[in-house]
Amino acid sequence: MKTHFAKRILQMIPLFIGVALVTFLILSLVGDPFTQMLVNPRIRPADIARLKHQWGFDLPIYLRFFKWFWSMLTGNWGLSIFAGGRPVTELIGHALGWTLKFSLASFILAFVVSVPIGIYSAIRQYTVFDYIFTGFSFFGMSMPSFWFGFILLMVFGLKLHWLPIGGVMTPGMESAPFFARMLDQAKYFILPVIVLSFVEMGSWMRYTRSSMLEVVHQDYLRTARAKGLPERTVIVKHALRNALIPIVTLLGLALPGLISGAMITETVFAIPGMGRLTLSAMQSNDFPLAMACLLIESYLLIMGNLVADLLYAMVDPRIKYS
Amino acid sequence: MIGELTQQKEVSRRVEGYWYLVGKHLKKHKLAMFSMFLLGMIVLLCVFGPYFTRYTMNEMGNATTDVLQAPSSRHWFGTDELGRDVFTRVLLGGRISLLVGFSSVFSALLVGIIVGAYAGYYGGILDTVLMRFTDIMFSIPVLPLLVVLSSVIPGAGVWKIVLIIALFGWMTDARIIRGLFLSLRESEFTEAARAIGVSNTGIIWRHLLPNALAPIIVSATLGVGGNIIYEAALSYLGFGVMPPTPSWGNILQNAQYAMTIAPWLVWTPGLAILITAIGFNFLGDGLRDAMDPRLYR
Repeated sequence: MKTHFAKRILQMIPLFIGVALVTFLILSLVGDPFTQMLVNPRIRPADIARLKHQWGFDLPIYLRFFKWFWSMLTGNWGLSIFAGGRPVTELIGHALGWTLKFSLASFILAFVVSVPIGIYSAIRQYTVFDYIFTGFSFFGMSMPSFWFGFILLMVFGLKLHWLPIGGVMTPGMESAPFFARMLDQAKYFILPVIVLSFVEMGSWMRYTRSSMLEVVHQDYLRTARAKGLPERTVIVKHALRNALIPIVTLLGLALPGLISGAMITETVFAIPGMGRLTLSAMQSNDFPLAMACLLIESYLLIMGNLVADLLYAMVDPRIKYS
Repeated sequence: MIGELTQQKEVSRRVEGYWYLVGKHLKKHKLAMFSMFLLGMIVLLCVFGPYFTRYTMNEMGNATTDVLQAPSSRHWFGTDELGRDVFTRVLLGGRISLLVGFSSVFSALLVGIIVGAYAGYYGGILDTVLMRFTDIMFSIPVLPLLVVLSSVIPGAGVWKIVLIIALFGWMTDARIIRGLFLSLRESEFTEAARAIGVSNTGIIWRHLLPNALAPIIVSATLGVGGNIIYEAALSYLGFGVMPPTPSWGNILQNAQYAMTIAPWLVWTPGLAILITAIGFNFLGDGLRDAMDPRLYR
């Protein structure tokens, strides 16, 4: 087990470097952010050349990659070119905080709703309950998230005026007492969290249901019933414990959906999170910021997969790694 | 004794091939059949519908009273901010969205099959290199890079979007196919084919691929719906199919600006995406059940 863990963690290193390289190459295709300034007659070409030199865009690409990668490793993430020259780490720190809050809330909501329903659907396979929630999960899987966001905004924001139509807090509430501030923010959280979790719920329900179904039809459950155990014990003690094992991988599976889902949801609801930061950094060709954002998102994905993989190995004693 | 033998012969005369069985099981799957019918209707409507509507794609209203009209008998889905008939545009947008959905799945599948088949069949270093590359591509958040690529690749056409979605959509297929090929290459019929001198290329494409067809078809079916949503998401962020060419995504994106005064514009293109995606998901699910011999009884 220990060697497996060590192996998996060591495998991460080339993956980290590979992801950095591929992202760097793709982003370099856009070209440096200063050449386009040449069209502006008020900026002298000499200034542009100086800027290019200052930001290191005059070096050959492999040198740039090594320099950039080294400075990332040593913790020098540089300054954003356009966002007022603020440190990249500071910008990301703010944005990541919001995104993590929203993702965590959505993850918990999706998990709490979909796992019990998935399990119950499997136990009551082919009943009305199962059909309704199977329909519901297909509905969720097929829903374009931004459209769902629009609809919620239209109904609850514009029509009923129950909830705010975007942002993260009412202006002026920054210095309010703790509980008032939390209550205020909760109002802003409701719609985006519903949108973000709804899209995930569908597939998680299906996943939980099929993982439970796999267990429900196994022989050892028939044995448990045959020896006279009450149905409740059979399900809770015998079936559930094995069915829950694959669900651990949901942790890893959830991350890509939450990250790319966050980009859309944040745009719809004007949340200043990672998705929006990444998008605006790419739109303005802010190379240091965009690279840092992409890298953090990739590394979150990789770490999520690793954690899911290791958890899986830990909770399932049947798995033996050599 | 003889009677028994002839009886047995009678029973086994009808050969039920695999695809015959798949069809038989699919027909029993009511939701999948209904979805197939629904999708057929949607495709027909989008392909032939625009020939029969009263308006053309970019035909604008004559007066300001034609702008942002609510649904009526003249304009079934209302009109947009330029007075264009939304029903016509949704049908035409459907052509583009379906085209993007199908062709991006097809191209992604092609890449996925090649990568997965060669990695799984040859194994060794080729497998390691290709699969590590797949891992890398899997670990990069797709949506931001789609945005970058759409600004890098020149042009504003539909094929650009297809290319971009395909570039980041082949990894799942590659993994599925590699897994299948890993076990298929050890099978006896592969050995037999090798023994009679079939080339590696021949074995891969002629002998192994047909055996891997079932999961490929399922993944492709589910993929079409997913890619239609992807195109819509890209359009929403402003990097999808460029107007004035309509797609469900950019009609929807366009509608959000008039959301407060003309909410009906938001409903129809979104519903079109939702219904189509649900159709493909149900059909894919039905196909998966129908193609799984373990579920045959």
